[in-house]
Formats: sequence, C-alpha cells, structure tokens
Amino acid sequence: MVTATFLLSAFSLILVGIFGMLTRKNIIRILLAVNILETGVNLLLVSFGYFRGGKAPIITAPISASNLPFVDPLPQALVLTSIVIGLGTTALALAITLRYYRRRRTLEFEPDEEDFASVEGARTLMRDSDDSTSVTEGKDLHPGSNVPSDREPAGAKERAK
Amino acid sequence: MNQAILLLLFPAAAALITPAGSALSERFGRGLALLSYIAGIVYGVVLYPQIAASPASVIVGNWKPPYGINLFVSPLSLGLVLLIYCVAIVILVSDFASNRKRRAQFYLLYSLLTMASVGLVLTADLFNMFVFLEIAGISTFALVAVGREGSGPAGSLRYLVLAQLTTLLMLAGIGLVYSATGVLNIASLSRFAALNPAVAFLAGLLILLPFFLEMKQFPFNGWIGGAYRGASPAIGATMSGLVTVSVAMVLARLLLTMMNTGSAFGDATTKIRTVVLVLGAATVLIGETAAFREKEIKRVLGYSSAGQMGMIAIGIAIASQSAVRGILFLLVSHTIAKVLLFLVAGTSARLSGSDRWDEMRGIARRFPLLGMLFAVGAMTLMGIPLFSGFWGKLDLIRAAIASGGLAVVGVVAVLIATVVEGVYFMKIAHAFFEAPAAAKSAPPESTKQHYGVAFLAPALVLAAATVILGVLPGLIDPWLSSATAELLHPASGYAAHIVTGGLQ
Repeated sequence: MVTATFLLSAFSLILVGIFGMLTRKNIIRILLAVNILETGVNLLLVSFGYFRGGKAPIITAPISASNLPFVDPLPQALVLTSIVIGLGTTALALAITLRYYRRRRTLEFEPDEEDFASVEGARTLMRDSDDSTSVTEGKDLHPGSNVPSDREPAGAKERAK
Repeated sequence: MNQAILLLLFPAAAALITPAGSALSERFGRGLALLSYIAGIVYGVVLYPQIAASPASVIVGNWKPPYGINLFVSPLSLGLVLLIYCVAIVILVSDFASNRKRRAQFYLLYSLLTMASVGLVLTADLFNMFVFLEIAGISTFALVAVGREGSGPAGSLRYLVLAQLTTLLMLAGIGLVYSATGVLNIASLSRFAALNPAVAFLAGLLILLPFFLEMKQFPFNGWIGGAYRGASPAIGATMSGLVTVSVAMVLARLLLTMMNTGSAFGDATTKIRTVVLVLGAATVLIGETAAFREKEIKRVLGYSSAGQMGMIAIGIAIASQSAVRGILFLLVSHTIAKVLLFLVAGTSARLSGSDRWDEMRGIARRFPLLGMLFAVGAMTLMGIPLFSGFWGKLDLIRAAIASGGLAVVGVVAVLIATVVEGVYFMKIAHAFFEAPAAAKSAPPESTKQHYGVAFLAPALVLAAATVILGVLPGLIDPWLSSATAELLHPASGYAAHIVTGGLQ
C-alpha cells in the first residue's frame, strides 16, 4: 500500500514535470519542471527498492536481527548519484539562463529567436566570433557592473523588432 | 588488467589538474589536454595486441559484476577510444588556429567531454552509462553556451532541456529494468530470462531515448539548429564527430548486444528495432531536407550529421552481419569527414567574415586547397568511390536489400538522401569556386593565422585518412570483423568475458 502510494506520487510528479517542460515558455519555469520530473524519477527508483517495514540500509554493525530487514541499498545509491547530477545540471542551467538574460533581457524562449540570431549572428561574427575567453570575466558575473554589455542586447533586440 | 582504467583516467586527470596548473601558465591547459590524449593513444596502442587476443573486463573497486560497475576493453571499444583520442587531438590543434586565447575552463570542459565519450564506449553498466551521458551533456551545454554571444546560451538551453528530459526518462527506464531483474549489467541482461514484453518494450525504449537525442533522431532533433549555430566550429566538430562515435556505438551495444533474442528484452527486441528503423528512415529524409534548405554552413553540417546518424540507426536496426560492418565503417568515415568539414567551415567563416555559405562565394579561388579539402569531405559523406564513405554505404544498402521487409524503406531513404546530399554539397562547392559577384576584397587582417599550419596540418591528415580508407578499405578489415562479431554474438564473446571472467 505504501509502495503503491509512492509509485502513484512518482508517476504524478513525472507527468507534471513533462507537462511543464512541454508547455511553459519561461525558462525558470521549465527548469522547475525539470526538477519536478527529476524528483519524480528519484522517488520512483527509491520506491522500487522499498518494502513496508524496511530499515535504512546503513549497516555499521554486523548484520543481525536488529538491523534486518533493510531495504535494497542499490536504488538509494543510484538516487544519491542522480540527485548530485541533478543539482549540478540545475546550477549550470541557471548560470546559462543568467547569460541568456543578459543578452536578451527576457526569460522567455523567443519565438523569433531564429531571425534575431541571424541578424545578430552576422554582426557578432565580424566582431568576435567566439567569446569563450570571457566566460568568467568578472563583469559577466556581477549584474549592475556590466553596463557596456547591457547596452548591446537592448539595441540588438530593437533591431530584431 | 585493471590498469586499463587509465584510458579513462588520463583525460579525467587532465581535467582536474588544469585549473590548478593554469595559475602557472596560460598554455598549461592546452598542453596538458594534448599530452593526456597522446598518453591515452600510446597506452591504447601498446595494449591493443593483448586485447585483440583476449578482451578484458576491468572490475572497478573490486565489486564483481553483475553487482559492481565494470569496463569492457575489447578491439571494438579500444579501437573507438583510439579514434576518439585522435579526433580530440585534431580538433584541439585546429582550434588553436582560430582561437589562441582559450582559457583553462575550455580545456577542462573539453577533457571532461573526452573522458565521458571514452567512458560511454568502455562501460558495461547501464547506470554508469547514464552518469557518463550526464557528464558529456553538462560539458557540451557549457561549451555551447560560451560560444558566440548571441545564440550560444539560447541554443545551449534548448539542448539542455531536451537532453535532461530524455536522460531522466532513461533513468526511469533503468529503474524499471532494475526492479524487474535486479541487475544493471549489460552482459547479465543479455542472457537473462525474458521479461514481460510490455515492460521490456517500455523500459527498452526509455533507455534508448537519450541516444536518439544525441544521434539527432527525428522527434528529438529540434535542438540541432540552435546548438550548432551557437557552438564554435571546434565544438560543432566535437558534437557531431566525437560524441556521435560513442553514442552510436552505445546504441549498437544496447540494441544488438543487450536486446538480443535470449536476453531480458528478448520478446520486445523486434518491436524496438522496428521503432529504431522507422525513426532512422524518417531522420535520414528530414535531416537531409533540412540541410538542403539551410544557408548557415555549420547548421548544414549539423543536419547532414542527423541524416548520417539516421543511416547508422537503420543499419543497427537491420542487425545483420553486413549491416553492422557497414555502419561501423560509415561511423569511422563520417567522423573523419565531418570533423574535416567543420574545420574547413570554421576557417572559411573566418576568412570570409560570414557564416552563410552563399556569402562565401569565391573563397576557393583565393584558397584552392580549402576548396579541395571541402570537396574531399563532401564526397566522403556522399559516398563517392575512392572515398571511405562509399564502402560503408555500399555494405549498408546491400544488407538492407538482403534483409527485405521494412528495411527496404531504409534503402529508399538512404538513396534519396544520397542524392539530396550530392545536390547541396555540390551547390556549396560550386559557390566556393564561383567568381565572387562583387569584389569584396577585404580579407580580414589575420589571414595567415587562420590559414596556417595549425589548420592545414590536421585537415590534411583527415583528408589523407579518408582517401586511404577509401582506396584500401581492407586496412581496418580485421578490426571490423572482430567488432561485428562482438556486437552480434554476445553469448560467445561479450557476456562470457564479463560475467564469467569477472567472477574469479
């Protein structure tokens, strides 16, 4: 019964996550949906290894009646790994979103992104075709101190319209 | 044999040491990355004769399979690891021609990506595969995002969201497999009692999803345009040349070795292969059509890569001796040609100041060698005789006709695609050699830097490789035979080595 509840919640979370990812336009909301999906998948994995009355599989003493029965430890190991990966990916995604916001002054995926990019593309290629060298420059990381690079996207956006 | 894990540790160590070392010298990252890949190649070549005689299963942390994670070093995986290292070196050297000011972060991410690609090829465990996919994904997202200012982050985010969706669904599939069988080792699953066909079908498809995405298969390829526009040519070459080697090989491993008759997925194998075949045929047509109407050269190459990967998926789904041989050959030749084309595209873009091939008119008149190199790469992808792509396509088409049934749809798709490829590559080559409409004689300041040894040497090596393989396809014949046998007959090779060889 407990496992059925877990499974049901896991599937609901997965569906909510997929729905959010497919229907939202706002990047932050999409990333939230990714996280909901991830929680659902993690819950699914843990509930596969769970049974009623199982103890946490942290075995410090020799196995005896006191620490039996324990739940399957392997799904828990998988989920721990997956949580860490999820955290890393979310952090990276938010960092990229910040960069996106600096350029576009919006958090929406723009429908006219294609045209925008090709207008902007020809221009940036001439100027500096690859700014990977500036990825961690201080001015990129502190909002408010990047006045020169702020002006650029605002102007670019007007051109696109 | 446990020291074979060094193949994985060289780039990992390079990635971890790079930030510290870069405090000392700007050039530390590049030097270390190149050094670690060369070390990997030397070690791999030394190891190869031994592995060819008897493949080895590397047990990590003394957790024996099927409970622990193990790597499988065989002629197939070791050969592709060597290919990955060589391609990584070629890309890094040529990247130096276009951008001399790369920071340490770039080399850190690049080494991580190389490590993840190598790991995907070597691993024999489903969950480990998921972890390597995520590492490859994270480094690719970051490398695309730092690309060109305007579209890097946008392309990267689209790719990231789609990739996360598919890898998380893969994780759910892995959970299903584990709850149904209790093991995640590919070798064990390949000789497991058959699961309920519905569960096997669902779990099998979920596990394949991220590979469909990385191989740019049809419903999952919406990210190509954005990511390839955002990525610098070196990263485009990496995404479409280096990462595809490992994901295509893993798809073959999963679909041929793990999902075989007599495996846990036995009852669903035919259905899953049909899905892959149909998606592959659709991708071939859609990818090549998209490439045909695209004007930006990097995106042309990205979509053409989707088409080529569709052909490889068709070959994997047909699963006959000659089809698998064909796609392995096609995989090697696609990697060589696509990396070459990306290098040429990057250099042409820098020399002409535009990303669009219709604005590069006449560039081959100024730089004839550049035009020649483009033609060599294009003819390899088309599959013209005397270039390596020919042999792979020939084997694939023969195998598809021999197997009949739905595979004939695949033949039709491949043949149509070849014509389409021919037309758009010829269009581009024609534009390259055409006289420029207006004399826009304003070559950017540093022609010499963009068109120097650092670009020409790697490009000429790649061009030579595709011609040599095209004239003498017998050179990699022993490798192809043993790799095909390993994929198609897991019971005698793969599974036997891992499961019994592991439990000493």
